[in-house]
Amino acid sequence: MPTHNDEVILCRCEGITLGQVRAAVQQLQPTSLRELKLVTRLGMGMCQGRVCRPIIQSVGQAMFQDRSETRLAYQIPTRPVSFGDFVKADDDYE
Amino acid sequence: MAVEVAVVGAGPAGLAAAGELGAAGFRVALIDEYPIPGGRLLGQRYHWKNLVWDGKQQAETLVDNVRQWHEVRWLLQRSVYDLERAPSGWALSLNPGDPSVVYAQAVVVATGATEVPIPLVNWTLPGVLAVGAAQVMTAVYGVAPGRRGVVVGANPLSFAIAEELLEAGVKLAGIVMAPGSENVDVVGSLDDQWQRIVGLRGGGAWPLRTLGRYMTHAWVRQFLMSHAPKSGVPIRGVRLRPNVVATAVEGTERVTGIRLARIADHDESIREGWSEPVDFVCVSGGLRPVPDLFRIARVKTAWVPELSGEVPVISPWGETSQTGLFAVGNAIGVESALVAIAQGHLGAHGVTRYLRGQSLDYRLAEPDQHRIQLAREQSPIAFHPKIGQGVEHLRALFLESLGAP
Repeated sequence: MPTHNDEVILCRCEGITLGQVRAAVQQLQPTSLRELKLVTRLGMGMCQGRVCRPIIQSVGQAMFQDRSETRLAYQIPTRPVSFGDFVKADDDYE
Repeated sequence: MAVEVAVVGAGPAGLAAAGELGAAGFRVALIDEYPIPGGRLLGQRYHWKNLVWDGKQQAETLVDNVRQWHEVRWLLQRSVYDLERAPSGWALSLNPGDPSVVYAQAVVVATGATEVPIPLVNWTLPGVLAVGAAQVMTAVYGVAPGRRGVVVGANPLSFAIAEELLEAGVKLAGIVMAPGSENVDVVGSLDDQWQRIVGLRGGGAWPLRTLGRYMTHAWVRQFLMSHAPKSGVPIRGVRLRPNVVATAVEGTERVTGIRLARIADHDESIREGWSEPVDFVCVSGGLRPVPDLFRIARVKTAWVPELSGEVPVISPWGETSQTGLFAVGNAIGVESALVAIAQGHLGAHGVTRYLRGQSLDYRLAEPDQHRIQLAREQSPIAFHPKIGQGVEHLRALFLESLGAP
């Protein structure tokens, strides 16, 4: 298959390219997808993986032979929330 | 707000469930992020047998059915961002608030599926959009995404939406294949992509239908696909270009073209490259079920490729591993709207039994399960050629979980 160019953006929110991921893997030698995330901020932007999760999972599988498609965690809030609503929810909680 | 049932998602499955629950007399909260109920039905419009499948019309029928039950409260333009156990059942956190928390004795999760993106060089340029977004623009809002576009990635959704775009008078340079590399491979190898199109069903979408069954043989498929003309093979007016791969989007301020490459016969290496003018690009990596609320609620899930992704392990009544939490629709596997509606009915009947303290013996679900199977057989689109195997696999996982301590 044609190789993706190094300049292709994998994580749109944080603007992380394939080249940056390859360089980070070479220089910092993360041992897992989670470590790669922490050193590059891959998938850690505004969308919180709602757009890029399949791309990042595919990177994890290719680079770390991580066969688990479900490895990355899901965190609350699963959608962006304003602090005002967060506080209000706390008040309303029984 | 306290209700007996919260339904998350007002697409075909959620609407069908809410309609049945309303008819059974329950107090229901029906929650959806979008201002208009109907989910992905709203954009669907294609020829099916000798009829036109009009999703908007289908949605209206389902909505009208729900509206006659005044115990169903509509909570539109609100997202559920948390789901956790409460003394009375479940607590759902909503954004924007008012009510900010909905308490429900049972929950039906009908959150559907989301699109898989395909990364391309320059895909952040204005004019690159998910194929589903192009569908919503065209079919829901009546706005053409551009004059001449291209669809990158071949799957049932690409074909259905390309047909809609053509019908709306938009020109297409065809459906081309998605690129990959040793580091990023979202939709699989070229042959993986070909296999998915060969398995396509629906309205005679495959003119090589007579050749279709031979295409299950790898060498026949690879020979025919790699020898297709560069301009593609017409499939119901849409040009499929099985040996042409998109390598980059071109443009500076916005999309002005697409860089394409032809694949050499056996080894999938690039033979030649050229540019074609387009003013929009649709990326289409297919659909995946949305598992976020299941994972947040610690529901047991499994990765089932035939169901297009991570799905909850459910009982024949649609109940997840967490009591009182039911799942229906594309969130339990990507299938057509007809299947989602039938699953919505089943889930509602499961919830009804659960709330009334009646038996959830799975043999009692057989009539509803049979209706789902019928809907599956009648569906205009099969999103995966081996959906039946995926359903069987999920059922085996459920039976296995019964034996687990």
